[in-house]
Amino acid sequence: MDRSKPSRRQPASGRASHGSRECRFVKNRAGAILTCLAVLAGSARGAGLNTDVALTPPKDGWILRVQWRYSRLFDDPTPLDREVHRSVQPITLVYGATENLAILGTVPVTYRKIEFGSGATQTDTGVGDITLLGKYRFFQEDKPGQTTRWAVIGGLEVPTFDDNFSSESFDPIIGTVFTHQRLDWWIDWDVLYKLNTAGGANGDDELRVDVAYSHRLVGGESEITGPWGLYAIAEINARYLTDGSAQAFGSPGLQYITPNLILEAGVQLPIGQDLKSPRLETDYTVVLSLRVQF
Amino acid sequence: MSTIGRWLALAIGLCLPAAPAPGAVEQVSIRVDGLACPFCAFNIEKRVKTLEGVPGGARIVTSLESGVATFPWRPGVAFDPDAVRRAIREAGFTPRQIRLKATGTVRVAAAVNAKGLGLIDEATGHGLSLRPAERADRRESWDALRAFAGADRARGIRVEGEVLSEPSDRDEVSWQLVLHRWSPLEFGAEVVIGVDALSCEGCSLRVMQALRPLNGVIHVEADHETDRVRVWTRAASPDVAALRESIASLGFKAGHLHTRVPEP
Repeated sequence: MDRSKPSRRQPASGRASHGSRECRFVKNRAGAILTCLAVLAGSARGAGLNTDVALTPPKDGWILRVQWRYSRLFDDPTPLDREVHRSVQPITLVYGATENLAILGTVPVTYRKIEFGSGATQTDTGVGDITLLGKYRFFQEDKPGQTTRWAVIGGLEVPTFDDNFSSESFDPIIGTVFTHQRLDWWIDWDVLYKLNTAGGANGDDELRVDVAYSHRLVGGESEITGPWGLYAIAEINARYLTDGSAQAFGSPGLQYITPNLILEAGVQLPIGQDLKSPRLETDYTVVLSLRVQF
Repeated sequence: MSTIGRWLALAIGLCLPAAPAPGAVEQVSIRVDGLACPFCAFNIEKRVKTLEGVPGGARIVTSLESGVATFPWRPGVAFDPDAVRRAIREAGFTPRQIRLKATGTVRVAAAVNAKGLGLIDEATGHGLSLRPAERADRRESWDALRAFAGADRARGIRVEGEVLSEPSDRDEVSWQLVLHRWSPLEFGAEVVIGVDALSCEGCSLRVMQALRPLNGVIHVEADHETDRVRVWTRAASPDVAALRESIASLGFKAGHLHTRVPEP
């Protein structure tokens, strides 16, 4: 595969065209600068926008998270010269089995439109593989107005055998998530490793690292909603595949948080991408999200 | 139900109504460590509402800034501190000090000594020891309470204050009473005197110290916020003029408002 094939497609995010598929880590300064600015301004909070593993309900409590994630993928290294517009609605349900054990399930409903260089298009709708995770908190230290928690995660990605969006394999997942939270700011850090049992061209294992920092911009205590806060959040989401592909994103956003509702919005911008053919680069991702507790 | 819980529900009295009623915890406040985001507040509410003593539809107020959750307690349900602590843990947080607000009567059946107030639940015979909270401004009231209980043991008293669990970071705790004021349940008359310019805590203290030694006086409470002095006497027809003169001798202008005798 010609890895230096010039791309006909241009990034819509306004950044300069890369022109080649050599390693571009840290070359994309827009995402990095935005993230750094957000971090310096003081931005992130329990469970970021682009990861679910920090979600923890009380015993017998439930959290439902519904997201809408739109991504544009481009820079096809193959002669197909594809550009992909992808819309994913991950629906995540979390149950507090005990005060320390939470069960998470995520079902991604996906719509995809592929535009080929020839002018042809193809659209697909389906349900991606279902992620089932158990999270056990083994460390907790609480102080007035702050908490530090550490949990281990284990689970499975269960195939839906959807023709377009399923790996068609049962893939074990292990990981850990660490949270330190204060009244004015919090930080989450998680590492997840997915062992891909599919084999073949799509059989690469995946390592994910997410770091989220959130800062309360304004907040108060209302008679109607109880305590509330508007938080700025900045995340770095990194992904490494065993075929050598790697991506890192800077993800600034905002969260409006009340006791039983969180509204979130943000963007994911690539800091660097080094992808093996035939993977497409991500131009940007827009995220809208709603969390409710019941 | 724990002994302490049953006892507290029956015996700690705050803000006694005219006719003494069985005691009951009305409100619970608990300090919660680890409470750091608005989303966390729902966890507290979810678990606290499962407690037997919390009325259905009750409003659970959780303050992030103070780290305190406050909720009402159902009349007639014995307060169980262990269940409250367990609910906070199940919400994912660490329970600390509990503060109670209760209504009812206290009957002094054990000695009041330097360590605190020993009280007995007449129904069950269980006892509860309340240590005085370290509040210098309430020492006078504690001293008077001890003196009263020493001379008139087994008389009823009405206590206004707050009951706190101490220490706050353990399950096995003793209970402290932050004594605001107290009054006897058995007395001849209650005299209420209005006093001009009773403007500070020190003024109130001087008035109480002047009236307490007078013959026939059981107890005195002076409140500089309402400019009222309440005097409980053994006689049903106390010498109100002597009380007023004693106050006037301190430089305050005193006027008799009314005298109440207990209903038979």
